[in-house]
Amino acid sequence: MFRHILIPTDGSALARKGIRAGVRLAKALGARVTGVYVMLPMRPRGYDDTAIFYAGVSSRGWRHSFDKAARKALAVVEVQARKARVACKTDIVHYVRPWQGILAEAHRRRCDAIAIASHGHGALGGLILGNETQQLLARCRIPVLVVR
Amino acid sequence: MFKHILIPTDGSRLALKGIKAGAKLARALGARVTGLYVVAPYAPPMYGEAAMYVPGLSARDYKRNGARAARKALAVVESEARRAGVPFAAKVIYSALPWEGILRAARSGKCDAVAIASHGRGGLGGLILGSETQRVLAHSKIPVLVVR
Repeated sequence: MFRHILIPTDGSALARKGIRAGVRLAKALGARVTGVYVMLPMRPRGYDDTAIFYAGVSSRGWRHSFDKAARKALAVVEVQARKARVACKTDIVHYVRPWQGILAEAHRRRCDAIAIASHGHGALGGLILGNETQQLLARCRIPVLVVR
Repeated sequence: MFKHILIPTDGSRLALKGIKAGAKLARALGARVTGLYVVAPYAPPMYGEAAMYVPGLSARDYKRNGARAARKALAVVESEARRAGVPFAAKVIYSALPWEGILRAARSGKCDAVAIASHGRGGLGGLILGSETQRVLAHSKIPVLVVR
């Protein structure tokens, strides 16, 4: 049914649930998976008064600190996929909002489904706390498997 | 992966998308499906002045109307399930809140996934217009496949 499942991760324990479900579904359907980590793009340091007091992060330092987290998060996807013998690729994309990155990656890689976990706050809680999964659902054109 | 997929429907065209996706997934995974229609329980007519002008629906008529709508909606699920060649069961539940009825049916039927469509209004639109799918997501303990 699905040939290519996108599995976004932020390295959290919650994301792990989505990874596990996505890989299991891929195995059951004979699909392949792509793990994606959305990284904040580097913001150039501000050139105002605060720049005097605040030593900005260099572009390299920025990438370095995030790269480590991204690799660690994506390694989970790779390990799970290898264990289930599912073909797996991983990507790091740079976007301000995670859901933007996820949608762009799904489009670019032509995934036909997304597997993702959600903490499951309701409408109001989600509005206040911010719920990437809900943002994603509101804009996504392909089916999304939401795991709790 | 999933053995028993719950497919709720309200008879709308939007629901048809969820039905098709659910049936296809069930076929790919060798699962069975249960089609569900939630009917709001009968609310007795008011005995105010308005009751003089608004002819209320009797409990029997209400029940008959609900049963007819349920049959019609569930027939669609049945035909999709038959086309996909998966075992099918129909279920009608009485609940004032559709999402609550869906989750109750999932629990009592021991379903391990829900396939459902969503109009995909996020954030404020979803909050105001109300999205049953979002409420199901917020309260469900089992994975939910959301289709657009």
